[in-house]
This record gives sequence, structure tokens and C-alpha cells, in this order.
Amino acid sequence: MNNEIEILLVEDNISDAEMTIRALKKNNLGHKMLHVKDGEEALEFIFATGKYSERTVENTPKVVLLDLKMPKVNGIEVLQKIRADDRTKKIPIVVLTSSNEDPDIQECYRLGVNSYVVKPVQFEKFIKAVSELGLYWLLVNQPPK
Amino acid sequence: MKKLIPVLSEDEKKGMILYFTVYEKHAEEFTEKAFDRLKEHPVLGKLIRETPDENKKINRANEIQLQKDAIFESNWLPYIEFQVKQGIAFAKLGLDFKSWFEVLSLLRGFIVPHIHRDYENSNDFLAALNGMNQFMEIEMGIIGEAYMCQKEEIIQEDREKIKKLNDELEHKVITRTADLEAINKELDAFTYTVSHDLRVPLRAVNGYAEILNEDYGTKLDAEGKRIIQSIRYNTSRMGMLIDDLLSFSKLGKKEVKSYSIDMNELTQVALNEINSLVSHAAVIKVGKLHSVTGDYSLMRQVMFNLISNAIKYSSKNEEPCVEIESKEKDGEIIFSIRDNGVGFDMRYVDKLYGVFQRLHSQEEFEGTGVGLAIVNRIINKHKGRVWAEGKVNEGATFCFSLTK
Repeated sequence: MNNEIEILLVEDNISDAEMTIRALKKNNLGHKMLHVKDGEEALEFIFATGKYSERTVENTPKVVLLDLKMPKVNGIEVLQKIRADDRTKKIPIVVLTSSNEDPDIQECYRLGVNSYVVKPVQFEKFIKAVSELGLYWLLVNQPPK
Repeated sequence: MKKLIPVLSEDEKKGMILYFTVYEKHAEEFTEKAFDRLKEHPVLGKLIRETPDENKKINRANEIQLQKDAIFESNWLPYIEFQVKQGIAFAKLGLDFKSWFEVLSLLRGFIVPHIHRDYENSNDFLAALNGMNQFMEIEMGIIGEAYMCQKEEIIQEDREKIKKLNDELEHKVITRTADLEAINKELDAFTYTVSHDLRVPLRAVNGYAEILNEDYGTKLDAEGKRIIQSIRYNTSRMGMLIDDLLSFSKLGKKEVKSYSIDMNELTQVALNEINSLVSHAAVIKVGKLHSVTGDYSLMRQVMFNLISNAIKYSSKNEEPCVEIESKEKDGEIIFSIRDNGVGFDMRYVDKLYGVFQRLHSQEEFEGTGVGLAIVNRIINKHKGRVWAEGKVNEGATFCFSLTK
């Protein structure tokens, strides 16, 4: 299956999402990416339920880019659920946050997040951060077998 | 109370009976006379005036009966208990111990003539006098005991009052602490909002301006592109302002640790940090610096801010130079950072340390105007002082003092 999803972007802010997608596309990483707008849909995708019931859970993405502050199911809860399931607990997860003041960062590390990225205000930095992130997790990091 | 029970010989008992026989016969008259004499007394007077005659009569009958039981039947305990209770009650009303002597000597003055008359020329006269004296002595012993008890009670009450006050104080401290914690939490939430939520739209403005430039740049003329650059410049600047404001507000909560600091080592660390961030041509001269006691990371921040300021404001000089020194004066260590830069007008010296206060435009020198405010806050937290001297185009010296 060639059209499998490699990057799952979980981001409720349309502007941030648009810029993240743009950065990934610039690095030719956009075509295997799926953008979902809240934690609930992210969980449906990961666990192949709801409108993603055609998928299989074992067909995991190579990386999840996860925003923390989202309506309904927030990033922390998504992280918790993914880490709690044997089939998904090894998926690399990178948290995207607006601030390194975020008190949730500690909690994320406790829950086993792989990395976190502070979204910079400056566009170039933002693009650079997102690009490096996508490339690293897709090209450099060998996902656990 | 039992220790107050007197041990009397037969003769003594007989004397007391002789005395009491006289007293009982005239008791009503004596007390009436005594009441009359004491009606102006500050404590007893009020009591005498306010107690109904009927009650006075009952009280007296009761007291006489108890006294009789004690003297005639050697049954002292009920009388002692009654008298101690009465003594405590009077003490509580504010009657001083001395007044009891006055009352007794008053009674004695009334009684003695009657004893004299009743037992005239007989051996009983002296025995009755002795009996009276002995009885009054016993009575004073009992009253004394009552006053001791009362004092104990007062001390105990005071202790309880103090304990109550302490408890209240502790309660207040707990409430206030809780209030402060709540305020701190609110501040944390506010800080989070500032740092998180304000950045989101800012990122979008900056990002979309750049997308406009990338995707439609070819359709824009030079003025259009300049406007896009202006939008982006201002959003980045607002980003910096938010970051600086945050680091300033975080200082308020930060606990100041106290260690001995090698200021030469610390200055070198700050310099290395500066050199890795900005390229500059300044010659930096660091003298032999005094060691101080303070918070290492906060003091490094102070040095970083002051030295990078000195480098920045001297950058337009052809041979920029920054000198860092320290000296001891009046028990304080004074550090100075001098540069040969643009200096400042001493008329505006008060504005130097305010948050977001700047003496130069963005075009002249970049900056947010938070650096010196942070220095001021850190040095204040160390109970030190900050000040500065300067002259336009002749450089500036920034000083801070720390206690040894």
C-alpha cells in the first residue's frame, strides 16, 4: 500500500496547520500526511474507529505531530491513550506547543513523548523547525520494529 | 482546702466559742454598721447597695450557721469551702486582698467593746479576745488561699486567651497564604495565557505575510514588498516583547539562592555567551573582581545584560571598549561596567530602569527595554542598589552594589 499515512498532524488551529503543512510540502513530505483537527479524530485514526474503521491499527504512522491545546480531547489525553495500548505505544510522538512555559511539557515527558517543539513566531524559524522535525522522524529515526 | 482546717487546743476552742457567742448576738447590728461604713467603698459599696436586704439576711444566716458548725462542732470544711468561693468571687469583682483587712478591723472595732462589756473582770475576757484574733487569722488564711486560686485562674485564663490568639493568628496566616497561593496561580495562568495565546495569532500574521511574499511576491512592487517586510518585522518584535515580558515577570516569583560567587569566572561565562550570540569589535577589559554572595544564574543574567548593553551602545565608536571593575566601599562591593559608547542624557537617568523604557529608537539601537529592568529587579532581590552615570556621546557607566 503506497498511500499509507506517514505523518499525522493533530492541530486545531487552522493557521498553524496551514503553515505546518506548507513546511512539510516544501520538503516533499506533504503527500503522505493527514491533518485532523482535534484529539477525537486523531484517536479514531490511530485506533481505526469511526470514519477510519477501514484502516488497521497496526498500520501506524511514522510520526504524530501533536498540538496540546485542543477542544474535546486534548493532546495529553491523546498521548495517554496512544501510550497505553501495546499496538500503538511505540509510535514516535512530537508535541507542538506555543510556549516553553507550558506546564504540560513536564506531563508530556512523563507520559513518554519523544520530543517537543516550541512553535516560533517567526515564520522562517517555524518552517525550519517543522521541516527538520518531519525529516528527522521520517528519514533519520528508525522506527522500532 | 483540707490544709486550711485549724488544729485547736481545748482552751483555744473555748476562747473562740466565747468570742463567737458575742458576735452572733450582735451580728445583725455589726453588719449593718459595717455596711453603712463601707457604702462608699469602690467595690463593696456597689454590692451593698445592689443586694436586696432579704438576700443579705439569708447570706448572713447561712454564714453564721457555717461558722458555728466550724467553731462548735469542729466541722470546718464547709465553712472553708464557702469562704474560698466567696473570696474568689470578690477577687473577680476587683476587690483587693488588702480590703479584707479593712473589713475585719472594722468588725473588730465593733466587737471588742461588746466583749469587754460581756466578760468584764473575768478570765474569759482575754480568752475571748484571743479566740477572736485566732478566728480572724484563720479567716484571713482562707481568703488568702482564695486569692491564690483566683490568681491561678487568671493565669490559666490568660494562657487560654494567648492560645486562642495564637490559633486565630495561625488561622489568619493559613488563610492569607491560601489567598497568596490563589493569586500566584492566577498569575501563572495569566503568564501562560500571555505566552501561549498571544503567540498563536502573531504566528499566523507573520506566517501569512511570508506566504504572501512567497506566493505573490512577483505580483507586488517594491513598496508592496516593503510593507510585507514591515508586517513581519513588527510581529517578530512583538514576539520578542512577549518573551522579555515573560522573563521579567518570572523573576518576581523566583527564589534567590545564596552562594559564594567567583565574579571573574561568572563574567567570563557571560562573555562567552555574548560572544556566541553577537559578533562585535569591542575590547573587553575585566579587572580583578571581588567575590560576592548571591544567586549564580541571576547574577550571570545581570552581567550578561549589562555587558551586552555596553557592547551594543558602544558599537558605533571606532574603537569600542568596555571595562568591568569592582571595589569595596563602606561594607559594600560595587561593580561597574563602563563603555565609551553613545552615553545618555542624565536628565533621563530615572527612566533607564523602567520596563519597556528606552532612550534610543529602534533604528539607532535594537532592543525591547527590558534588560535594565531585569537588572534592577535582580539586584533589588539581592538587597543591593543600581545606578548609572552618563554623558551624551561620552559613554556610560552602570553600577550595582551588593553586600559583602
